[in-house]
Amino acid sequence: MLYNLYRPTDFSEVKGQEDVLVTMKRQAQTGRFGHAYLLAGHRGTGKTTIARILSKAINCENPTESGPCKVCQSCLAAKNSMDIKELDAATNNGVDHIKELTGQAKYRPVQLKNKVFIIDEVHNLSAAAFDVLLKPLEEPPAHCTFILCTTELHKIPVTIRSRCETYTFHPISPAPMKERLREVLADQKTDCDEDALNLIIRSANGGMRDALGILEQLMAGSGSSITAEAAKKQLGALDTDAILNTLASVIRLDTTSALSSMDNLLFSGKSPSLITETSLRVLTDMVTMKSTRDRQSVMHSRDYIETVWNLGHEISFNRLYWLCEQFCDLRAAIRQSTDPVLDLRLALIRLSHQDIVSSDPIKLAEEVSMLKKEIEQLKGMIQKHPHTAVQEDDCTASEPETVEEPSAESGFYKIQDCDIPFVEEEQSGAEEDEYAKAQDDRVTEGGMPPDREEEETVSADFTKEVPKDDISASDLFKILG
Amino acid sequence: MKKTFIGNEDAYKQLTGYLDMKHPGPLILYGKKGLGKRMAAEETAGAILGCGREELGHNVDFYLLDKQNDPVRVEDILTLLEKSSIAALGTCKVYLICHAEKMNVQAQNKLLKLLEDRNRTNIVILLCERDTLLDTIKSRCLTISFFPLSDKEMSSYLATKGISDEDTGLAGFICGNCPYRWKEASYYFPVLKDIGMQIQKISTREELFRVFRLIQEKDAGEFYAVHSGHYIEALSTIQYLFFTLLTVKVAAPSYNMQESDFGNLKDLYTVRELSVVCSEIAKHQKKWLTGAYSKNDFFDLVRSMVRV
Repeated sequence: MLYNLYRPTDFSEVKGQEDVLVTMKRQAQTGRFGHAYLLAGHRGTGKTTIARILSKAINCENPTESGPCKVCQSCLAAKNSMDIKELDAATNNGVDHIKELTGQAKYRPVQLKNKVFIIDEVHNLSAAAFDVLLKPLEEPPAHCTFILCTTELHKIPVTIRSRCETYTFHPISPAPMKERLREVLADQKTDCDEDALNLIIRSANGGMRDALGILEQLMAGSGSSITAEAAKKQLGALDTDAILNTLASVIRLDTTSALSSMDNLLFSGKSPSLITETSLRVLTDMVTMKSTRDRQSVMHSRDYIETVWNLGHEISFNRLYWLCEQFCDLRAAIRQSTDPVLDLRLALIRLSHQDIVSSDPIKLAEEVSMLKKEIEQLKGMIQKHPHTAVQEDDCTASEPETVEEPSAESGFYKIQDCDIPFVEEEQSGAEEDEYAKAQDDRVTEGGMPPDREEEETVSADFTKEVPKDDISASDLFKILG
Repeated sequence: MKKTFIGNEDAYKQLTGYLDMKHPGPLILYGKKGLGKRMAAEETAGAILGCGREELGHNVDFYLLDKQNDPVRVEDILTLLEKSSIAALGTCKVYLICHAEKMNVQAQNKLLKLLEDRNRTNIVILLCERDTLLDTIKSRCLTISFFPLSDKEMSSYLATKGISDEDTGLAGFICGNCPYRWKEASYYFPVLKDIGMQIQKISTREELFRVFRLIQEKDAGEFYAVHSGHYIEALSTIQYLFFTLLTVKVAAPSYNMQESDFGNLKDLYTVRELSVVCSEIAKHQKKWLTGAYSKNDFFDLVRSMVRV
């Protein structure tokens, strides 16, 4: 495999872990190494590679900033030496295995100047095995060095971590990864499009081993020339335009179009998990742009940003967030599903059909919160507009504490803190009909029918002539819808 | 390498490219059951070892780990590791691990070093139906995906097996458009088809209890008892009706059916209710795979279909 063939042999060949290498290079230069190292981080980022380079550097007769010199007797003997022992903790995770290891540590090295024990996937050790390792890590013999590697730092006991120099390996950024891939391509005499290279890097998710594995897969399928089209096809990469079309249909509650464009993707060989993952990524970008209100918050092509931005304006933030949650659940469900295609189609129908969406608790909660907002706005409007005297009496904006019965003399009907004026006029038939119709509309929309008797009492007051500056009853009912 | 499976031309091309590699490494063949992954893996192993697929059973450099319905345990992987420490008679050894999705995390961790360090002389081919492998395993292997056939391809295949046009929809759905599942499904397909027709004829939801023979205690013809050997497929029959009706009601374009094709069923469920029933059936299929499923669960499913 390419990742084995092109595994770095010294620090200068390692790409993308400059932070980690600063200290190690200094140690190699000065010849002053630690006695216990803990290398932790993302898969495929160089932990085992650097452990092996370090083991050689520790034993090298003339170590440089790049680590081992690779020409001295020690460097040449290190490959097969019994003084460098690499242990896979997944297979040797018991107390007995670690006891045997620590037993060997007591003896002086046979061939090299130091004994180095590399324990890979160390998080697999049992609790008892970790305990056995504590003492040798704390006070190792002078000729002994332990290097522990793990992808799951949180599983390593604190007692172990405190005894080691911990180096955290981050996912490799695109630039060094691209540089390394170009070197490999040149050596393999293979051409590769820039877009194909970018696709490999995106698919690798920060792991160099993944990137080289993907490259190898593409070389197996495409021979000595890898084009972007071939890469997209072979990797099953999705055209985001197709996903944007599908999501647009979902947002617009157009089930037919959503299913149609989804079926096109499925029949072209795209896996349901990839479709779900890509959809989630697009929705996340939409959430980011909507919440920051900044198109530049997402790094992508201009067309993509424009389309996602515009689509984001067609949907409320609550619903968008709900869609993200649904796709997250779908992503988890698809992994264990017996029929991922069916699950995906069902989810699309559930997310895009009016009848199902409108009865969803989240949607109802959204409507309730919208109603609450409208009520707050109404209250604000009522407070802002001063109540002025309508007939003979002036209206002063006092702060009534109780709701009083309407009084013809005062000219006010008090509702909580607001004074709403009324005019002594007969209620017109047209306005009464309008009011009754508004009430009927509220009933048919699913709201609770108002108490007719109470409303009639109120309406009798509201339909009287009011000063122009105040809100009229019909305005109020229009707002309430 | 001979192409022994139907469809999946891209997968075949990738396998050919894999065999052309100087040092082919670990391989994952990923896809649903019944797509020909096992045949493809055996052809690949034969090509690597220089023998035919039929001769693999006699080849000492070929090791098959097939636990059928049991999980792949750590002990199985340790046996494999033990064999890998012995030198090959030929140029390399090939290990074919079927149902790799049933490997628990400890077993997968045991495989890591074999996949990474000793992959020149020990080639591991994993057959996987679900995406349950650790990322550390996947990053050490080349993954080739097998996809279900399209509806058209599956219909053509079923037609060659003598299935009529009106039955290819249900037959394809039961098989998940995986052609090699048809051989097994053909034994119980007529019974399942009959169940489907009975469901279409119900005039109330409560009649589902009668159709599934859940009214009389210890009824010998009870649906769960009769179909527990192929329960996923039996549930797929029910799901086919409800899902197809759902897609017709939401006017999905790819189905050439009318609501009238579903008998009385179309009037008994709204779109929302059909969606809920389909989701419930899918949940029960997943629960069945965990092994913790009983006839009471089936009764709960039917009850939820009635009460939704």
